[in-house]
Amino acid sequence: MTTLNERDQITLNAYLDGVLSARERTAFEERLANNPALQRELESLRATVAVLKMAKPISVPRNFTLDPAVYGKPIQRSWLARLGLSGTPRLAMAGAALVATLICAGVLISGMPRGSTAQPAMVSEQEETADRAEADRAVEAPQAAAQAQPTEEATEITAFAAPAESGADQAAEAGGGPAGAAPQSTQPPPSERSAAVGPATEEAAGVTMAQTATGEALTQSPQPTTEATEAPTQPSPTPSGTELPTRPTSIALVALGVLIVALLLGIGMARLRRQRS
Amino acid sequence: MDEAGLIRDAQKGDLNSYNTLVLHYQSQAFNVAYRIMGDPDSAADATQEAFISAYRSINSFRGGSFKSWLLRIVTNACYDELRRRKRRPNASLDALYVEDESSADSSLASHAENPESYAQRMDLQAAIQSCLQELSEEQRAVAVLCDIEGFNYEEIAGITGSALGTVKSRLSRARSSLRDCLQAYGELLPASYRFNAGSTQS
Repeated sequence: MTTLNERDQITLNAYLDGVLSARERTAFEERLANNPALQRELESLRATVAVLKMAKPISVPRNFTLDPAVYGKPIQRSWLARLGLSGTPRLAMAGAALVATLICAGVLISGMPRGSTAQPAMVSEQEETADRAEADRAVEAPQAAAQAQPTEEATEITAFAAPAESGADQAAEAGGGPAGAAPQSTQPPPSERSAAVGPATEEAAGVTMAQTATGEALTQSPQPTTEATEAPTQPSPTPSGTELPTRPTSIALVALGVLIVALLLGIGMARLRRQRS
Repeated sequence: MDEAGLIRDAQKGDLNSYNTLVLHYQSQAFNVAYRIMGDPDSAADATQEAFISAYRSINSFRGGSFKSWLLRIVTNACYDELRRRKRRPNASLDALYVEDESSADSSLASHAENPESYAQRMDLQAAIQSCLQELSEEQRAVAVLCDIEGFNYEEIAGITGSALGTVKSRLSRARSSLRDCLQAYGELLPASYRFNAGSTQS
């Protein structure tokens, strides 16, 4: 029974089989020269291997060839092999299918019609606001200079209040009831008054109506103007804002697909090389 | 024999080319199977299964040593057969004699061997096989591939699907066990190979 540890046993067998490096062999032979037990172990292993090599080959009881009647059909080749792509890594094929899908998706997205259904509604609302603003401006246009000094205008309005009453009455008869309601005592909100006044009465009542109005009407008038000036510009950024994301999205999809297929091809080629080596 | 050409044709579905390869390798394949399985019937079953499996997976061969690739299939078929049978095969002298029955007379006639040495040789073969059967399946395969079939460590690692260190470890243990087992057959061994039973004691 040997007392060599497993590592020494492995080294002994490797020395016996001649697979030690030159340095390892030199070191082991030095140990061997000074160790009789190691020498006996080596000799017993050498004799064992020699006996094993005396094992005679056994004759085959029969031929193991395959019966053509059973195995003679052509080997079922996959559709990949029939196309000559049997060596193509499956990952690369999957990657090619993926990038084709991404390209199609990118083309479909970029081909979608620009704009959305929400925009026309916004534009129509803005157009209505713009129309109202234009009507207000037409009524209050002569007062544009006076708007800069609301306090002075307020005193002027009161000074002209009496003679303007007749003008307001005429405008009320021409334009309808609500506009002709007592201008001094009860004054409906400026927006209602401006909506009620028709185009025919604009010139007749424009100055007087604005003069008889309180400071509220004068201070409110800039708002429709600004809204009117702003309204036409608002729709324009929006359509271009919805158009922009589609092109980068499709480009990004295509780029991503190309990157993925390149990565998969690289992995597949590395595996093929490893298998062949 | 143009092995590469035969393999190429076999991969294209030419059964005749594949059968030519079978005829070339069947002796070595059967002997490896026999040394692992321990009896000729089991070895024949495993060998046939291996050649069928190899034909079905011929397109998975991507180059390198076809012999190693084939023997890996044989070794795996043996392991599968052993697991399936779940028994330890016994190597008997009768089985060995039956195996060599067809060639025994011709062997005596051609080599002019005397009966005593023939019997001694047969006993030695039985002793070798009996001691191989004492090993685990993995140690047995490594010992057979290295010391009977003559493969190197790297080839054995490829055939058995093991790491190089594992091959060295299994071979070391297998040889130690075989040495201890063969010592019991002392008088059967050739005089030049009889090792002292006490020689390994330190």
